[in-house]
Amino acid sequence: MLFIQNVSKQFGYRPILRKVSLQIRDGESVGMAGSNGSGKSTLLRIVVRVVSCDEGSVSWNGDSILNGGADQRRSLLYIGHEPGFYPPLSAQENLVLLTRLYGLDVTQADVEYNLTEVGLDPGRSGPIRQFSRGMLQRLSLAKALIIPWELLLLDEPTTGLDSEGKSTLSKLINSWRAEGRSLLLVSHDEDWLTSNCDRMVELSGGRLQTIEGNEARSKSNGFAAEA
Amino acid sequence: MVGAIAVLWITVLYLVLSVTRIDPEQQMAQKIFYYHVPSAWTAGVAYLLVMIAAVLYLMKKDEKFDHLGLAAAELGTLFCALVLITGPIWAKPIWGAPWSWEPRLTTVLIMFLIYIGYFMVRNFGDEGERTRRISSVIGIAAFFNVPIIYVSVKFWAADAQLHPQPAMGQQSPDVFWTFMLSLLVFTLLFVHMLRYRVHILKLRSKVLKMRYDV
Amino acid sequence: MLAVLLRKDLLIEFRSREILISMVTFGAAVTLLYAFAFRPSPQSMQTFAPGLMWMIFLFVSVLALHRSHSLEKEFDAFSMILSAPIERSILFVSKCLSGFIFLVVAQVILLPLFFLFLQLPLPSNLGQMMAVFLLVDLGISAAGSLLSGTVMRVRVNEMLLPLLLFPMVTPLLISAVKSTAAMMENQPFSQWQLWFQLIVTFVVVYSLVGYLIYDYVSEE
Repeated sequence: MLFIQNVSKQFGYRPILRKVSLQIRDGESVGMAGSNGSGKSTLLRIVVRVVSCDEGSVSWNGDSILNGGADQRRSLLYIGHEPGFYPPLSAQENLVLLTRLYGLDVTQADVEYNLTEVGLDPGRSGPIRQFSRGMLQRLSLAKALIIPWELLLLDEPTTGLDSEGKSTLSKLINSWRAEGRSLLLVSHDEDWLTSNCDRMVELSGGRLQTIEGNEARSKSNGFAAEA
Repeated sequence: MVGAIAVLWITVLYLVLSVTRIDPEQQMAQKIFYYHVPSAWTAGVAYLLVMIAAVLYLMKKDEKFDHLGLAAAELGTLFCALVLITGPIWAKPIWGAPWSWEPRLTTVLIMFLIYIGYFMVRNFGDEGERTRRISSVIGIAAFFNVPIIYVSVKFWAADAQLHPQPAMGQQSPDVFWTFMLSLLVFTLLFVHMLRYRVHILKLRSKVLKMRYDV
Repeated sequence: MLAVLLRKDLLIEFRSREILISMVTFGAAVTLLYAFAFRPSPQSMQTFAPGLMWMIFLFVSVLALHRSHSLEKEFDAFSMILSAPIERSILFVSKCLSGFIFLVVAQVILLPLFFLFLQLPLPSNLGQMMAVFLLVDLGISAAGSLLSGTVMRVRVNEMLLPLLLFPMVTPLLISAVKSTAAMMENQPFSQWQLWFQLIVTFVVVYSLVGYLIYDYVSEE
């Protein structure tokens, strides 16, 4: 379970996050909506200690992430809206690097399989500098396939994806939800979030609010389908 | 407080000019020692304070430690500049040339340059927690260098070992007490300026925060 | 884990060779400038050589040190490293070591050029000289990697890094120059022992300081 408690962050003197608290229970998928610049990405990055927070705490299964050692982050995987790869290296090299950073041993075959799963050509060995935005996004998704995470933090995953990419993404998210893994999805596209999460929250003015009506909305869809 | 400092300052000036003995070799130039040495002492204390404030800031993340660190850095650099100015003023009549690579003066110069870098980082960094963090790191890294710098410079220009080494215990009372008084004045001045500056930084921080407290 | 990070830095450099080529080219260019700007007698050249040598290495190291952190910003690659379960102090060690390796490789190429163009005699105890050089390189890399990481996200950091680094490594520079001069004159170790001790002190202090406080500068 992820427990974000009273996290505040200022950029200069401008508050971005004001005592934000959020709980993600095991197996839950939470969607975070909010306009551009509302601090959604910042909150995600604070959870994995890419960005420092001014006050507050984040804990995973009772262990503090912000004050603890690196091991607390082992079950978490962060996929940001920037690629998060090394441009001079190839797709395989980047993925293998990531697995080694998590202390895993993967074979060439595993990597190639995962690349195929996200719709990339495993035979391509050029530097990812040459990839298009959509291809980079697919490669980011491959991260989620190759690392055995318990909580996935996804920031604007639909960016740059074509319709095929988007359906691959939805399939993956559904399979993860079915497996009972936890997700924290961030997007400015509320409709997409609604169809992919159990629960929605919104970040606005630096504060987090729950969005009511998500369950009502999915229920009414169900009724409509039945009728 | 300011009044007390002003009075003490004038007292010291009077003492320096009329009461203390005139050094037979150096004449009036020696008197600069009543200002040069306390400046160096104050700069050293200031920089030590910067490091302590930096460590506290990194540990506690409280803005007030950063205010203290910045104010101390500014004052330390100011007093460093005073040392670098009074040193050559003394050296010109005594050694002939205003500047020589004397170890203590050189160490002060290097620290001065390091702190110029510190201020540039503060200037180019955006206002905010990150700039304070990295300034603290620079303050800590700079301080640990001081003994190394001093030893290296001391043996580097072995021919420039001309800095007077006044044995304070052996000085006559008029010199000793005037010096101590001067040291006191400088310390009081430092503390007063520090408090004033920290106060201004606090106010500034309050005002900037108000802009966003909507 | 250290091996993984180190291998990554070296692999990236191996692909593009940007750092090494720029270091060697710049170093060679400055060496040539020295040769043209000063035409002293061989004895005077020997006096100035250690100072000139270490100045070149210092200038050249800034290129590597700056790049070591700026390449992490492309495509937000650093977030991959920071979010992974790695201790930040290990990250510092890897940056320090990769900077060290680049500097050593550049020196291996530049030193023969330096000795050749400035017509300097070789010292008799080459092994000793290499050991001292390696230590100084480690010192430059330790202080430099810490500072490079510190100013990584600040504006105009190409200027800030040398501005901060050069005053801080002055004691190391002095000790390196004195040691090199002593070795080139084939003086016995006891004569320049102090400088060697200072180099070691510098390396130890800055490696420790970097190891302990790198964590505070690595986050945004």
